[in-house]
Amino acid sequence: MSVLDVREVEVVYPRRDGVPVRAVAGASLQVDAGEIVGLVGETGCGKSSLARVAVGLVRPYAGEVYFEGRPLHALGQRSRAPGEVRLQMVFQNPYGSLNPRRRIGDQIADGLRATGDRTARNPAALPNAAAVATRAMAPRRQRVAELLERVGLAADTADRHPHQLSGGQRQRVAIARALAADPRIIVLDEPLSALDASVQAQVANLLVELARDLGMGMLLISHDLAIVRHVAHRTAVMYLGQIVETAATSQLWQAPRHPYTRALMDAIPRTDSAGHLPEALAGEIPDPAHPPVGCRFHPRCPYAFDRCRVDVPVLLHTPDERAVACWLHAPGAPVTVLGTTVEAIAP
Amino acid sequence: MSARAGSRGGEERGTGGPRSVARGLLRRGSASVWLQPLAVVGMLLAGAWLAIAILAPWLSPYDPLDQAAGLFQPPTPAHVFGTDELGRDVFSRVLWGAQVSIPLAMLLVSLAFLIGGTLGALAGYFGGWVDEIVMRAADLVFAIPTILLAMAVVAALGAGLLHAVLAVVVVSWPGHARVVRSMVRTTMESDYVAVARLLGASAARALAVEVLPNVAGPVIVLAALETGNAILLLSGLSFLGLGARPPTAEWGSMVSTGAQHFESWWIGTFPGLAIVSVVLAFNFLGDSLRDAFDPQAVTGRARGA
Amino acid sequence: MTALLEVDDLRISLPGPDGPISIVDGVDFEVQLGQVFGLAGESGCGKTITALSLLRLLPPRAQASGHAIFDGRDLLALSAAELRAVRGRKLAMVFQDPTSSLHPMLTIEHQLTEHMLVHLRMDRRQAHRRALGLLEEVRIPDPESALRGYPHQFSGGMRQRIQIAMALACEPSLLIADEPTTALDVTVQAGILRLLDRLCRTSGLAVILITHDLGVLSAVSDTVAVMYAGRLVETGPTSDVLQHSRHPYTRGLLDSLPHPQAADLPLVPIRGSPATPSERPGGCAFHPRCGFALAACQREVPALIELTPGRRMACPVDPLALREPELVG
Repeated sequence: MSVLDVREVEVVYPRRDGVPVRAVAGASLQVDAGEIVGLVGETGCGKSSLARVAVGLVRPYAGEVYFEGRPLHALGQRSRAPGEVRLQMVFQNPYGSLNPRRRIGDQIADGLRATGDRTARNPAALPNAAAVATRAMAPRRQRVAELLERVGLAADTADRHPHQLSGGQRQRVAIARALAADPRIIVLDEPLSALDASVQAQVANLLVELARDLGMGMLLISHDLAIVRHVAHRTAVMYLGQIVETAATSQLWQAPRHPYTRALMDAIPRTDSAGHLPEALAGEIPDPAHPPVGCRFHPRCPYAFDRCRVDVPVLLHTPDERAVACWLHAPGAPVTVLGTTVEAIAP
Repeated sequence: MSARAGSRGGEERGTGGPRSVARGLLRRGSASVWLQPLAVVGMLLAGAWLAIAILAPWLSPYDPLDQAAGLFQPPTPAHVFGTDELGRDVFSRVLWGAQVSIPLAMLLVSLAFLIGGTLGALAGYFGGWVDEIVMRAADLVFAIPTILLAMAVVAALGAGLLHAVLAVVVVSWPGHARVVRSMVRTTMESDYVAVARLLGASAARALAVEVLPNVAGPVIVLAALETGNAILLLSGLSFLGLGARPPTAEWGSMVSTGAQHFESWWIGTFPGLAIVSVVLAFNFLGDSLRDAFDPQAVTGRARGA
Repeated sequence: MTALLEVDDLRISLPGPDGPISIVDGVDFEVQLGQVFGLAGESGCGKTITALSLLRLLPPRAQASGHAIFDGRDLLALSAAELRAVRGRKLAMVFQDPTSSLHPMLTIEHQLTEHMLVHLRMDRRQAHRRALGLLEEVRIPDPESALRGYPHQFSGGMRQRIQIAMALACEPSLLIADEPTTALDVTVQAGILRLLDRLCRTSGLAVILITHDLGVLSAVSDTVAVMYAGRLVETGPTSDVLQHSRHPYTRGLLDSLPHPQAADLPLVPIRGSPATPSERPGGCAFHPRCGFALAACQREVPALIELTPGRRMACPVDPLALREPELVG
């Protein structure tokens, strides 16, 4: 059983002109303990909306989210249920995710309060209660220092304020704060986008370490397929509100099955391209309020055939633990086209 | 592989531009804000007037109600600002006027801030019909010209300084409510509030711990600026005979008297200058407070250089 | 062949609380006709302000010195009137965020033809025809109705194309593009890069392409100059600099980026973070983060020396000499 199980979630926003926008049109994902799942997509694909539903910030229009086997409740007026605190989030903007007026140490301690106090009130409620209770008894300050060092920051960072830190340091603080709540799953919404290249690598490696050492699962949202390759065990690709492909990351890169996945890979400029231009994808992303009929990608797909224009593809699961939502891989697809797609893949 | 805590800035894309580099450099010393000429003038002036307001009884050479001296005397060494139509020393009355106007204005702003701020915070926090009611009430007040509404309130309650204060509170609270409401609403959308909620804080706790301290800054700036406005309104009401009653030494009523005795220019001019300088002082102070709070505000850009 | 643009000893400083702070510290490079010159670096290295100085768009209290010889004249010494004749006409710029560089309340036609009416003294009909042609050139679908539209009706990628069209309106010989694709999706970016490439090949347009993305430069630029803390650390033909980089910073940067050949290996970050302009270390600015630093690196600023014609590098250590060439990448 996956720790985080997102089932057929839909997110709908009303737009100014009254037309509802299905930002997420039925998406499912699972994250297991110790596993990093990358969710990749471009602007308007709905990945951030899906992330917010997955962590419980927002209630989905349809579908359910299960955390540790129990239904997840979205935030309301009351405080979150103690069990759900072990599902945390790190946001994209390192400047907006820390309270500018509070000390770093105090903000990280919020996470400790989340586990500590609740354990004190009801120790049996959480698994691993003994270990957590021991941690709660250690002086808060020491625990904060431990967390800061865990993410590669000096212990005296606790006394500083956010405006004294750089973007990369702030992201680390955000991660430390999430860690303080002893999470089983962390959802990270574009945590690396706002960072410089050399710093991205530092934080990316940190995430890999934490997942490995703490057995934590992560859902990593990103537009950067290339860096997700170095971080995630499994990758899911999203287009216009739907997940179009999932696979183990190495398998995805070896043999992408969905034409959009392939287009994304071909568009990435490589440092050894030596003048070879990346491939552009024809057309524009359609208005999410008026998506194309049938497969949402078909107007831009070089391999689209009749069925694509009519039927919405279902996510087809194959025995090798991959899934793809594309009629090219279903029985009845034109064989020659299928042959081309499967074979002519170059990383 | 852990990295040392590096120096501040430069890691995020977004500080590459020359303007943001310049701004980052100037942002360094928020202390330097207080060294700006305007800030210095504002602080000195406001400080001086506050001191006068407190020390008026000891600073004024004469009793403000004492009609002993000659009538309509121009400024002389004995009476630096001259005497008025009843032989009272204008200088002393100006000093005592500070004791009337300034504390009352500050009381007034505090009341308006408390009432308006609370209503605005509730409107921002709850939204829905609470928001509608508060905002429509505010709109109602805004729809009527300020001085007319204030006059109407005083007329209803009866002339007098305390009633004038109440009237100005009635016309001032919506300004505070609007600002607080919009700040609360914006702040509640911030990521750090979402984080607090995810870590288990209730919405009320998030409001108290995360939102309100961040709202405090701009609201304090508004309060400082409003003090100048309040003094003007109070003086205005007294000028119209609706505020302070004779023989109270109040600047507005003194200017009113001065208008009736134009040849004795000193009767109205000095109180008028007092009003101007106090309002300016609080305005400068408010501007400096705004600049001082600004260094704390950070703008970041995602996916930018 | 004389270069289209020759920048010589460019220095730019901004006022700080304790005196002027050096942002750009002696930069020189050349841009040839029809070539894409890449200026690479992370935030705070000074690449954007270098570009802005060429168009004299610096903040009011900035000080710039040095020479930028363009078309026989020094851009840094032009008078206001001479500058107006050059800016927008011979030298154009495209910015990162097309949302803020397009006027939200003017039609596309208005914004496109503005330059033409002023600089080229065309009448409205000529300008309209030329505007249509420009939109076609940048591959905007249905140019006729696009002209009547407003910026908010277009996607980010389209707006960037429109911005490029505006820049090309008066047929400049040099286009400066400051992070033109950073804010765009990768598939959209690919389209813009192809557009820039085509424009250079067909019309001989020279481009200064400023970006932090070495992949973009590898795909599009002919020569590249890597900047760190206001100085050039390595320059030369792009494939040579990126495949056989010799400066520790360039090497470090490449190692910290995702690369297809080493997909299963972790990324190798550069330790520490780029210093802000006011906190630059003495000597070689990169030395605190450099794995090859010698004692001398703390004291002496390494000179940019020419290894072969057109290939320069500023580091006494030269890691390539110490390692096998196969370990590149």
